[in-house]
Amino acid sequence: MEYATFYVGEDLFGIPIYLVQEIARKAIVYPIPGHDSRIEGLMNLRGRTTAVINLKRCLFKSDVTAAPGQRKKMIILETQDGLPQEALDMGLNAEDEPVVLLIDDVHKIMDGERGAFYPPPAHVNETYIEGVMKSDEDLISLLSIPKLIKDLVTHMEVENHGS
Amino acid sequence: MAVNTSATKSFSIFDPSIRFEHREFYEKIVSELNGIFPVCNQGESTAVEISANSTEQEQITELMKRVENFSGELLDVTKKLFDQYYVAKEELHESILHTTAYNKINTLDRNLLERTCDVRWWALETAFSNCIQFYENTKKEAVNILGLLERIPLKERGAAGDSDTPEAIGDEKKALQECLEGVKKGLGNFSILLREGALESLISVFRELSGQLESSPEDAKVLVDFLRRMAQLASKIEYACYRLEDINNSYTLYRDLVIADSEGFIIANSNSDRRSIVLGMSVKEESWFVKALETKNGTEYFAQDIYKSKVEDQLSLVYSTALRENSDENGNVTGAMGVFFDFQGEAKIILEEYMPMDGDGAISDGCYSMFTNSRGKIIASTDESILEVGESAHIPRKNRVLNDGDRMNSYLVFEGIDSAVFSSRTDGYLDYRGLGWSSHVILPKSHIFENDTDIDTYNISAEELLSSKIIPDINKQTYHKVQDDKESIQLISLNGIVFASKLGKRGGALGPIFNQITKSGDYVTSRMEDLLKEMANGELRLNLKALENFSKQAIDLIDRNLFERSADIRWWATDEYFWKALLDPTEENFIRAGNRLKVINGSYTMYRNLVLSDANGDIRACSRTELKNELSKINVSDQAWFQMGMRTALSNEYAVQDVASSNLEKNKERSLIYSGGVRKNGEREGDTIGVLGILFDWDTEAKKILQTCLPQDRQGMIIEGSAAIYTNSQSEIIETTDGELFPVGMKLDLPNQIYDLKAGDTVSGVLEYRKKRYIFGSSRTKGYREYEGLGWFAHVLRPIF
Repeated sequence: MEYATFYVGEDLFGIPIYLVQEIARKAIVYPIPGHDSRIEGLMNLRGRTTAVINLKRCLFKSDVTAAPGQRKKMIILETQDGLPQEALDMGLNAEDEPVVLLIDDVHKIMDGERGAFYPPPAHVNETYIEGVMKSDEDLISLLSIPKLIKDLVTHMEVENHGS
Repeated sequence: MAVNTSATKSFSIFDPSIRFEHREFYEKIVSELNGIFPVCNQGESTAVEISANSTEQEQITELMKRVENFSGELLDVTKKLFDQYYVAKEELHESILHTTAYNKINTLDRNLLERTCDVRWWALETAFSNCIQFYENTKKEAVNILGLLERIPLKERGAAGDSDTPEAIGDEKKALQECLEGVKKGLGNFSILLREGALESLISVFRELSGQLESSPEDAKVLVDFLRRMAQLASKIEYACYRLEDINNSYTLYRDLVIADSEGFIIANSNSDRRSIVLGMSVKEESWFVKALETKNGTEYFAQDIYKSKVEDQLSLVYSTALRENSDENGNVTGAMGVFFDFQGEAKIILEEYMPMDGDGAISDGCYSMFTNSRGKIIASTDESILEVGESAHIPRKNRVLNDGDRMNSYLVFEGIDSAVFSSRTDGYLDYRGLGWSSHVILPKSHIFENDTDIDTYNISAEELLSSKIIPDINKQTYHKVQDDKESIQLISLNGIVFASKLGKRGGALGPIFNQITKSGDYVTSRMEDLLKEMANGELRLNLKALENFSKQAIDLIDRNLFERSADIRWWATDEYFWKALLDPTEENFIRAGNRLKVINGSYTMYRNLVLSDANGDIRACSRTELKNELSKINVSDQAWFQMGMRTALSNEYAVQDVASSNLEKNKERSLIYSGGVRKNGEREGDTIGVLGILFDWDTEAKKILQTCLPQDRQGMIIEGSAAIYTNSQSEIIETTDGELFPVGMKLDLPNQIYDLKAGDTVSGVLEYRKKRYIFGSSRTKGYREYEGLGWFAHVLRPIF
């Protein structure tokens, strides 16, 4: 399977290519005041209002600055309807509505078997990391999109109920 | 100031200036980009093969079209990039070399302005007006004496011994008669007595002869008085020569200084080697003499452009003015003074400055520099076998025929080499309007478009540079355009692969196509980035060179200025008003000395005060007479300028105390004091009887120079945040254009490479100061002529961001 790999800060992450609908330059995002800071805001995606998730704020507690020369991009995630049969066969799932991830830069599309990802080391307390793969000199963390989105949605629900 | 340059240059890839490796590089890029088009066609065909779905086919075709569009744009950007690369190089070189050409003519003008002051000031020296007036009066009296000699016969002499045969007596009489005729001839044609030794010889003969004349006691007395007068005249001429020598010993920029009577006969000169030729010579035909007599008062002068004067055996540049009765600047004209500037020596120094040097310390092959006069004739050059003095310069007419202040550059083949010539015509300096001269710098074209050195040594990345203020916006825009295109191609390729993945196995055929597009796109854009980085390196290197030049200009200008100060002090310390007052220390004499200092200070406004101290270090007179009471309470015997001045052994020595605070100027942070020992009777050696100190208006003059050495952008605006600074040998700031960030008195911590510089050397690089990064150029003084410099440095800094 192929993976779309990208940078958050100087760290490399990957997601299955089937979960990607498109990779684009950073577009205008309209902030939502007082909301979860992990949600960068909303954007107009071909006429549909779509939430933009700031991956950096999801993955790192402290501030991580972009490396020199990086150019921010967006990964527009595929919807459940758009997943090809191969993806479904592999048990991949997506949201019904499009979601956008804000990343620091794209890296490349690379081949890798799921088995090539090792479980993250025990001391890495990272909720959304499913595994880690070594590619040449790089360490690529496999990101679990469903977990990430679930966590965000849960958090929003708690907040909404709380208010 | 008009900058006349040729129409905006555009470099096609076929321009001969484009280096071979760049042309090859360009062709590789074009070939790679051209390779993308068939790949895209293949992609479109593959779309039809792998999918019957028209929407999918359209999506793939759309992607391919976008790749083709970006490839086409990249082709255009590539061409633009080469154009910008070479334009940037050319523009920066133009800016540096125009400045170089301008600096050369401006340095000469600054020097010549001082010369116009010199001649007007020296012409007021009493020794010269005294000498001429005495000469004229003696000449008139000689007419009477001649009449007297016509009347008085020689004594008749009979035989007084055995040897006094009639023949011997006859021979002696004949010899006496000849002597008498000789004396008459001398007195009748008085100017021939000006020839070296002629007057002394006539006096000797005349003295001997006067005993042999049958004169009445009254006539005898007249003759004795006249003889005494003649001896006085000889002594006054000798003294005038001596004073001219004193001037020349102080101001070593002259080959000769002469004074001539109103008929144009040279009475005295400074150059003892030429004295036997020059004294008594008639210069009545020479313009410098004729025009000097026409000056209306002591403020006027005449500048004689380079020409062949009888006074010298080489081409001369002469400044002249009238000598006036009683040295009064409004007095009647009694003669003229002409000062023969060492133009060739000075031009050599100036022309060689800023020229590229080879390993042997000679100007690099194919590089030349010259001055031309207003008619385009060469008056000095760095290679007289090729650029011959007196000949027309073989450069384009537009470089030869410039208006005041114009600059011009052209390309030409010079001595078989593709070259560029940068010309700048004088716009004068302050009151000095110049003589319409131009300076020209000729360099091989390859020098402008040569390879740039690696910037790794400067600890600044190309990416940093490309986002810095050093790089012009147009180049930054190209950099961003290349990065945008690179990103676009990258995104198209990635999305193509994403799209192909959705087609499952069918999409496998598209993979290699998108991979090829990615590969070609990466190759092209990274090569273009390399070229942009190379361009950024070049910009950095040339900007560093410009800063080096500015720092060199700053230190050179102050050195030249301070040389003039060292000349002033040496000359003034011999002034009779000062030694007379110190030898006979009456209140009246010191008032006279003070008034004399005031007159000098009135003409030389770059001094804040001039002070005369006695051997004990007590200030006895000053030019700012209103400060006399206050200063007379000060004893300066513990101050360096006084102690060093007292220790000078010769009148052509001087001392200078580095910039420091002084109790002579309580309202000033820093003073720069030059001093010279005063000797009895203005002698050239011997014990000092006091010290003359001159307080240079350091901060005003130094700041003025530093302001002219700040880097400018291409619109001629001073670059914000830049600074020019002088530091002394202890790294302490002694003057600055930015008193807040670089205050006077602060020790400036700079890289060792600066403080390790040898005299006259320059260095440039990148430094960090108060968390801000700068590019800098620094130069260390090498002095100028007898002024050895004080180990100072000039630094010019420009912020990177």
